[in-house]
Amino acid sequence: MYPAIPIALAIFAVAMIAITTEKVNKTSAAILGGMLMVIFGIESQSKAFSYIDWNVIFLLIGMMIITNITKRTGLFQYIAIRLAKLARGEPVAIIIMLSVATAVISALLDNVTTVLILVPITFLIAVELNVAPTPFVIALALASNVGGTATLIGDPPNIMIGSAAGLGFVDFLTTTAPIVAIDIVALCGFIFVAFRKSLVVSNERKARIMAFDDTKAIEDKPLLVKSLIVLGSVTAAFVLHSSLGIEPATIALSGAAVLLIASGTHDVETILGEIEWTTIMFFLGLFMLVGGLVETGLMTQVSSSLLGATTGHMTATTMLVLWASGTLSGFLDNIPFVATMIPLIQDMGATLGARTIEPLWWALSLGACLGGNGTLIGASANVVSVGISRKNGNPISFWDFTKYGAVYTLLSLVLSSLYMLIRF
Amino acid sequence: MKLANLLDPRLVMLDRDVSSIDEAIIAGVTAFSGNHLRAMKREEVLERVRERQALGGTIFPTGIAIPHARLPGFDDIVIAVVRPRVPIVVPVDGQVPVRLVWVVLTSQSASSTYLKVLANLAAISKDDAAMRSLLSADSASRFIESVEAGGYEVEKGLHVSDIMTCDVLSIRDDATLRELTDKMFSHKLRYLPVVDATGLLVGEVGVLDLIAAGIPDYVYRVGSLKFLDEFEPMADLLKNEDKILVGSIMKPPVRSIAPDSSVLAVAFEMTRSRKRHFPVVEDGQIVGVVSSMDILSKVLRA
Repeated sequence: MYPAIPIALAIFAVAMIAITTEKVNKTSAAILGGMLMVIFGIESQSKAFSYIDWNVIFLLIGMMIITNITKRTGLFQYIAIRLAKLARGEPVAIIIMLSVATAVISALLDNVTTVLILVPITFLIAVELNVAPTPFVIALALASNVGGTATLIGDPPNIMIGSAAGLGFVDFLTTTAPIVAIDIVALCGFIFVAFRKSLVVSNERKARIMAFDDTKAIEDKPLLVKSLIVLGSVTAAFVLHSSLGIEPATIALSGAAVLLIASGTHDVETILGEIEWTTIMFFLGLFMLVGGLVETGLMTQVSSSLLGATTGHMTATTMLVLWASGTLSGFLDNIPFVATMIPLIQDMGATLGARTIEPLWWALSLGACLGGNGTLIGASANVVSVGISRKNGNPISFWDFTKYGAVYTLLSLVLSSLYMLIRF
Repeated sequence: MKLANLLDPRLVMLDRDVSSIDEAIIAGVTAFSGNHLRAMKREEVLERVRERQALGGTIFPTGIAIPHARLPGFDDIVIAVVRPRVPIVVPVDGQVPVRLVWVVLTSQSASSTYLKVLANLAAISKDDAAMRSLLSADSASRFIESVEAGGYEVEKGLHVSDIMTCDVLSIRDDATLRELTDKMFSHKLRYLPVVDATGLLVGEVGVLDLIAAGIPDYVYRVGSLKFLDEFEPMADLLKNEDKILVGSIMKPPVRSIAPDSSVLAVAFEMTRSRKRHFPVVEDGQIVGVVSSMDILSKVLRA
């Protein structure tokens, strides 16, 4: 028999360092870490597989398929152009409206997908307006991370937390969505204050925006109708899933299958090929990796010692989780962080009762999702947005991003703390 | 295999009274009659040679003609030579009178020997000394000896060097897009190899790469510009063509082809990579460019 805890801890630590520093591709590191847990006998293969939260995996796959089909319709470009025209080409108004749209879209879809679609069209608008694209890019990245916090399906940490804690779509809608709405208002104010002066454009430039023909942005109208019906039904089913007794993954996969069939002419193989399999494999590896750690009993030991320190101090613990996860998520990938925190909080729940620890789940969700805004590398959406900007001859440095990101994260975490204190 | 060994003295007809290419073809095909044609009828063979002749490209500026045909069920290669007493005047602008007509028949599918023969015949016509001795040979055997003296070899296997374009234009990687655009426009080129200051191949650039330089990255990401009516086409490119260097838009050469690569290998690369041009490189230096049109005109319809 191997000394299980030190070996498991060593595998976990090395894998986490590899994931964080990206010296090795993080998906490969997570998979290898998970497999080493099995090879060293920390967990059996069947045990390792049983730690995989299939609700998370299939919810992600289902939503990726729906997104991959919907983005072909031109819907998101249409929304962006429509809003730019509604704003009558006024850059501050455009930036605020597009940020709100980004937040709403990324509440339903993956954050990275949202910025991949909306940043380029926003860039085009900025170029046509002849203003610096940087404020647009930063605002959209921040908005996508905030928006993703609002729902169960908006951001992977929420999917993981919801599945592990048994919190449903409606729970998120009634708990995180209200504070997200407040954060979005704060974001608009922040954007206005931070960028107002650099966003002055001529009347002629505004007229160019008004010349955009938004109706031509729709690429495939029949597919758009089908996508909207499926997206609407899936959202409605999410709202009702607790009362229907259907798990979110079932809803997402069913919606994906229906839309795949309905889209007909579109090649199923291409659409399925565009699923981000590296992300899916990352999750699979991560669950097995963390599973190994749980299997040794280490997590239970840690959580019981934490319990000793926090019993009777639930408010303080909530604040600690919120701020610790909010700060760490600015520097670390929030997904492995949340994956590690989940079994800890679950263990505490086993002793204290699910009701008592519920605020901890919300603190983890808010901290992990909002914290991603803290630095340029805090969230994938930031990295992707800045990457698009750089490829178009408008580089945004780490500090350019971080000086706005950090201030806004501080603001949103303070607002979240107040909200949590009032609410729980 | 030597080219001379494919020639039969009985099929070398010197100083014939023929006044047109077609008469020379008739003379050549008639000479084949008998054992050379196996089961094929003379009329049928004549028909096929004329059909191919009608497609053009068999009369060379060097004053020779190579009427030829591929015959079904004919597993051989035969060559007849007709040397007209008086050079045949061809009604084509700038064409020198034809002094030598080579009639070549081969099988429908075999390519390499056949194409080598055609390449050798074309090479002979460019060699003044060889042409002089062929035109002055006083007997069929002397004629064949003259061919033999040239040392022309018809090996098996067709190589890229047999079909590539040799006088290649290239562009330096530190040239501007203005120079590139001008060069492509004035020479009607779709493709240019890119070389560095020492003449080493460092990349390649196609006309589509040039046009792509005029479209910003975000446009590709938006995916469609249908909603934009007033987007100035290529405005950025025209404005910046003096500043952008070829090196920044070129692609690294996917795979350089050696002159002794087989034609099949190049054809395979072309279809697999959907690329129409490949630089042919020997010791880092470009010795030619092989294109899909070379395969069409020098292999499929040679």
